[in-house]
Amino acid sequence: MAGPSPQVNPDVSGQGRLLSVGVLERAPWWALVLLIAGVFAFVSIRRSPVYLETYQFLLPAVFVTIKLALAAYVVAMVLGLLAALGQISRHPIPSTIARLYVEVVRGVPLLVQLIYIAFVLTPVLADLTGIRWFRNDMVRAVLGLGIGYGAYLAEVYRAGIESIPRGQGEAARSLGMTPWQAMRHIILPQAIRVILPPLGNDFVSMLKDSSLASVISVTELTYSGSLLNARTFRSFETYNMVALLYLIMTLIGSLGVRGLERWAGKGKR
Amino acid sequence: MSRRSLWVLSSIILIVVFGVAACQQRQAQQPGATQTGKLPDLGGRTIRVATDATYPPFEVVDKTSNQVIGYDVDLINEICRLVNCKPEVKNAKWEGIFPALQKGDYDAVLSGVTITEEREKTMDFTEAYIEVGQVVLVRADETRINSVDDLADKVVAVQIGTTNDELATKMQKEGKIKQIKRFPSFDLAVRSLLNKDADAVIIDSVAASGYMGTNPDKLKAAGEKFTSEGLGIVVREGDATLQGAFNAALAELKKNGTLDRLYQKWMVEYKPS
Repeated sequence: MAGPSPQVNPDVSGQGRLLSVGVLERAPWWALVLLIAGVFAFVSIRRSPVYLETYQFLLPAVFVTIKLALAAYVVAMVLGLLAALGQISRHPIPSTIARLYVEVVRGVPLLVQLIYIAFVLTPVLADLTGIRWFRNDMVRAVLGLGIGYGAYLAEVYRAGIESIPRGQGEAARSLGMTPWQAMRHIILPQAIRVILPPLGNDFVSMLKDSSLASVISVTELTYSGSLLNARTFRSFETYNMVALLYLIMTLIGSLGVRGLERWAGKGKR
Repeated sequence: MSRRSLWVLSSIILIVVFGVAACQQRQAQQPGATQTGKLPDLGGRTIRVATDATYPPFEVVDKTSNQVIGYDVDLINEICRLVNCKPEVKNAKWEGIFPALQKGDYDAVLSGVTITEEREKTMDFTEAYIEVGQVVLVRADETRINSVDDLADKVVAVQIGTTNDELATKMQKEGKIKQIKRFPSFDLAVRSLLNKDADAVIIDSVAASGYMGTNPDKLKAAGEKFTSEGLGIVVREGDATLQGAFNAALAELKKNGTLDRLYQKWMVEYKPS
């Protein structure tokens, strides 16, 4: 999980110059190599019964991983926004709480946080409040990953908000808007362009970090890989397939992020 | 004699004296070798032994010294004393421990490993050095579970990839267990049990005693051992040298009462701090 990167790449697709000199350098050779590797993998899956079985065993876990990553990311986005606004706020209470959250969560490894939330915090909460959802492993994983990522997303939001020139906020308030209205109608909509690409990248990160939930027995991809490996002792095929499936998910995610970056770059002065 | 020839003569005498002394040392080792003449001699080589130290009393990390201690550690020390090797015990994660052995990262795995036919296909075991049975571990205040037959509607926690995991999975297919939670190590499974996220843990009887010891008054065994399995030392498939040496040593240790002594020390008297 790297820090926030609010840089936006402008569109360099060079429309209308497809056959010009630059195409040899600008063609996505890396994608071609991966595509060939993907076709090769696909063919070997079709040919080898072992790989086919492995793929069939692991496929349901892929959906669990995606669901987990999505749910955790929604939690992270909400927490991150609140923490960012809290840090910007001039009131001491929200800014202290927000700052504490960000510093503490960024200071503890994500795996440790996840284990802490799953084995220490939620059991206590379940006993105190009697809410049975706290005993659910998936809920715990979503909370653990969401809280863990929220602190990093908070910094992404904050950087995005602070990248909007002060003049915008001043103009908004001179028109009679409250700070909250200025934020909601003027600043945040503009900040979205800066925030979305790093947000997208962090989602791809989340897809990978969802593998940590295997430690608390959530049946996502890494856990299923362990299980298959323990049953069949075929580490080679199992983990080749696990890695391949993660790669496919993250590549699709990354391509989506590039699309986002281009959308964010449009219309910039 | 001239000064120079005196020098040469004394040097030669010194060299001869040291040479004879060195030979004497080697000879002094011989009687030791003949005492263990019946047992194979591994020539003092280092044996890298992998173990997952979350399995008291076979292997556990001692809180005060931060060293791996336990029955298995003492066992390999005794074996190496007999067959002349130097054991290097390494704490490793259970998952991947066998591939690491096969790859050559370790020479042996000694980690409370149950001898099974499935495992025999890809690695070699020594003879069993101790028999254990699987048992159901529950919270001390549990009243609904009295034996392995009471698990049909319960949640069971195990360590992934163990014979306990295999047995639980089989039982689940037969409808005898409702849900299984699998963890990378037994301490997480027991933690899950203590947190009331699981109703029972299926675990080897000896490790059960180990965890009952570290959590006094919180855990108990529900019923008796319901299986009986032998634990063995694992070596790479085809490594007849180590397998033979270990087997010979184990036979000797069984004969001279060392295994009984270790049992007494770790299964009866050991109380973790």
